[in-house]
Amino acid sequence: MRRPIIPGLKEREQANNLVTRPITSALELQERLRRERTNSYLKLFSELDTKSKIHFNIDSVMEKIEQEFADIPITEQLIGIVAKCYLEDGYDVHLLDRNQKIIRHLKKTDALPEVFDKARGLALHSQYACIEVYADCIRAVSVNGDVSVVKE
Amino acid sequence: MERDELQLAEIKLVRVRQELEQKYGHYDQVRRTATGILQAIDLSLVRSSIVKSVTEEMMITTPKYWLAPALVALTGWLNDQQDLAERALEEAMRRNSKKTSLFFALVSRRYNRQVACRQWFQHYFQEINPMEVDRDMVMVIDGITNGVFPLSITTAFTDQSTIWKNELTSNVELKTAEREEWRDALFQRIEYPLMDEKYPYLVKNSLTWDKISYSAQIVQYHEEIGNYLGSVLKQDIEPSPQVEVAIDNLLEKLVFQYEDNELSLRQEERKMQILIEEEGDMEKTDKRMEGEKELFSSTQNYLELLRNMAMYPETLQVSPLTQRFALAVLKNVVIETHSDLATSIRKQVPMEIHITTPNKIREIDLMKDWVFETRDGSNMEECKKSMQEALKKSNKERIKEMWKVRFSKEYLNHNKIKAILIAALSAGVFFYSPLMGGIGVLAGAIFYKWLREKPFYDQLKEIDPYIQSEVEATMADIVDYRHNFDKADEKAEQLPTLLRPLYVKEMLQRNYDKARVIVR
Repeated sequence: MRRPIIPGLKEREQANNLVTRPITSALELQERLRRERTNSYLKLFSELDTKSKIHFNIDSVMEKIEQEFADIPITEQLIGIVAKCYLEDGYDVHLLDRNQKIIRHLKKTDALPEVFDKARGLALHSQYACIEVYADCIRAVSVNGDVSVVKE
Repeated sequence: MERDELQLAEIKLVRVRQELEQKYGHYDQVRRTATGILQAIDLSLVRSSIVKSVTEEMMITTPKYWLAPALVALTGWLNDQQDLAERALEEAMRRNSKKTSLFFALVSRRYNRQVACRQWFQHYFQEINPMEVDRDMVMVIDGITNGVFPLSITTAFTDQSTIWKNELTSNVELKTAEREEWRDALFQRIEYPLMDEKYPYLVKNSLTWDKISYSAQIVQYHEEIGNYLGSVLKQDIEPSPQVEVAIDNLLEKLVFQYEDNELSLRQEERKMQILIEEEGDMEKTDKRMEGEKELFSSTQNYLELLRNMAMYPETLQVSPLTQRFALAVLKNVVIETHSDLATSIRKQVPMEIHITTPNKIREIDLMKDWVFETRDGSNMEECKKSMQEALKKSNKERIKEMWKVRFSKEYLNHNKIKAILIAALSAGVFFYSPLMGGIGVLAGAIFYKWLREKPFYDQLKEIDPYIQSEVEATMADIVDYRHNFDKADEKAEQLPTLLRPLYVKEMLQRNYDKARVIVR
């Protein structure tokens, strides 16, 4: 990234021509988290099934997630992601737990940890690529990258 | 209780209307006169001296009201009395500069004085603050979308409107608040029918019924809101045949707009009307009034105004074109809010549905704590099996219970003679021939056991068809519920597909231009 000419003024992102303003309030943070997710981020979830059987690098997945939310303080970032699992017939959803740094493929009969359970039904809906679980709400990312928010 | 409220509301409505008539009835007279004068002059049926004396009388009988001096100025202008016209105009501007400049902008447009019209509009727009927009803005937008105003004003306004919208939506607090308001406005637009009759077996047999019924109710939102917006966008628009008629309609709207001091009474009137419509239901009335409260505040910000124009066109009396314009300006916020709502509705759907013992079985003390879990009703055979096993188990327990009672001390004490007789009889037979006695006693005991336990097994057989049909019906209800929900949920796409192709510039009609105009 080029250095900004005027100090303090943030650079315009070339990819999407959005001004990345420093986040100063809770509402601004919410607005930022509502922004459309990038394609590479969405691809991450569609590849989870196909790649998981051959070779799978959890660190690279975690890294990509971190990149997506680089401008957001870590305490405000998502704690995990639940998405539909297409692995085999018996499988239901997969869970990506950021704290434990694991990805689990869950069967219909398996129980999810309580924090993530509220996202399970939504994850199965065909319109959503994945459901991001935050401490205070869940954000559903639809297949085209749009984000919708459900407060607790 | 509700009857009382209803009667009270009817009495209050009459009282409020009387008060309005008493306090502001004379305003109405001036209001009617305004368009009357213009039309009379058009047809040149009335002598100018009469018009003059009428307006002057208005000036005396309606103190403080801006329209009276504005009318005097108008007649002064028509009679070529510049001095009088200027003085009257000054007074009108002092009383309400916004409405006066709008009034004269419309009048000069009516007589096709383009330059004067533009100047008056400039005057008007200078005074507007997007954070505190008056209700007369509704009328301006109406004029703009219907193509009554000159093109230069239309384009200037739409550019300004975009700037305002961007400015206001870039403020996160405002935008968040606006999303919340839209959420209520959209969600509460619809009546949600009760679902009890649709899934009668789930009502009886499911522990999850509350969640099921709520989600089945609120998912109706998609279809209803889609239909509503569809009808708004498909509505035929019949522009007034002449520009004069269109302007007179606008003028009428402008002058008949309530003054700020009238608002509290008008609000009371509206509340009583709603209360009567809702047949005395205070709770529903309050909810509806909450939705309309901004309509009765004297100013609102531009986003709020647009929302009200889009969702309450009847109360604001806006034309369908203006409603479309408002929707087009705000479509992104509306679509976002809608997708939030759709997600919230989907989240209300229970993943697992719990089925419990049918009431009839519960009444005869069988399998009280039986619960079966299903997602989509596909595991019916398992459910039946589980139910039958539970039945057998609890039947066994019931039989055990019965024997316990029969051998309990109280029971034996109570039936002492019977017990002694049986004991003596079997002892007698036993002494006579031990072998015969042994067999006899055994056979007797087995017969006795069979006799006592038979009713229990018979009952089990008897209820079997009932539970079979109950399970089948409940499972069918579950399949229906899932299917109906998915079908209703698919309609969530209706609103975005309706709104996405709306563009502000396309909402502007040019009905009264002589040449073809392209709005850039």
